[in-house]
Amino acid sequence: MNPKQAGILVVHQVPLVRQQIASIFAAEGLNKVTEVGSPEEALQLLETKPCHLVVSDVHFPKGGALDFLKKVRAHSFPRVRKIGFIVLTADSTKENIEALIGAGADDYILKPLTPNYISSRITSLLMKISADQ
Amino acid sequence: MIETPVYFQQIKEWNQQSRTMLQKEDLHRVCELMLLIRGLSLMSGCYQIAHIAELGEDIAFVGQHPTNSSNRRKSVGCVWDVVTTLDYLIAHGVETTTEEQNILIHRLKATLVNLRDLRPKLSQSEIDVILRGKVMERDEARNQG
Repeated sequence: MNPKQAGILVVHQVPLVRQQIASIFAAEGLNKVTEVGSPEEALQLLETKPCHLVVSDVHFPKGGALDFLKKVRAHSFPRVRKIGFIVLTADSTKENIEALIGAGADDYILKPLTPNYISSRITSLLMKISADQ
Repeated sequence: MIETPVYFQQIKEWNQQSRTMLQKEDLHRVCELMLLIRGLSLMSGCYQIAHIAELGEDIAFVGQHPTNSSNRRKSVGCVWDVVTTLDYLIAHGVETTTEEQNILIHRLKATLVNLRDLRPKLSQSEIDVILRGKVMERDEARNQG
């Protein structure tokens, strides 16, 4: 799969932050980005729209990324269960990191992020997902 | 990238919410707001604001589970200083470290030591070690299956 053709879903409660992340992706040629503000919206969208990768924050007003990730990994649609899941956050607490990686997060990236760095992480993850399939 | 005025507007809004929550002594919400401020500041390259917000976040977290009422008051007082300092930085749009801010940072760090920061943190390289271990585990499970 060409990473630049990958559908990416950015999930963050703050529109400004979502736009900021999307603009960094766009600078790296990752243009197929959709943004939503909550895990609930994300889960609805994942059922109807093909997507290769979720990039999610950790904290949300209703439930967190851990609940969201568990719902993705236990989803009734196989293509949703297998989706790449990247956590992108400033939260570096060991407890949250271990819980999310243990629950099946494919990557955990701490802010700040540079365009080259995020692009290389996304590319390598998408290549791995392609190889696994 | 996002233009600076939009960024400052958002940070200012979160900081005002922090002040309101602090008046209610809702340190859980203050902790969340400080994390939001830190995340956006890091993404916008405003590392001084991010650093001070991180100290506020840690103290607000520890203050949620104080060992006594004195420690709770100390936490609330320190986070109040953080909110005030962030107000100043936002209002003046500066990223300089003044002597006064350095004193505040030292004081906040000392408070954290006194209160014992209960949250171990990991660097990106430490996270990558955990991720590599997890990938090996999954590969082994797949091979065995």
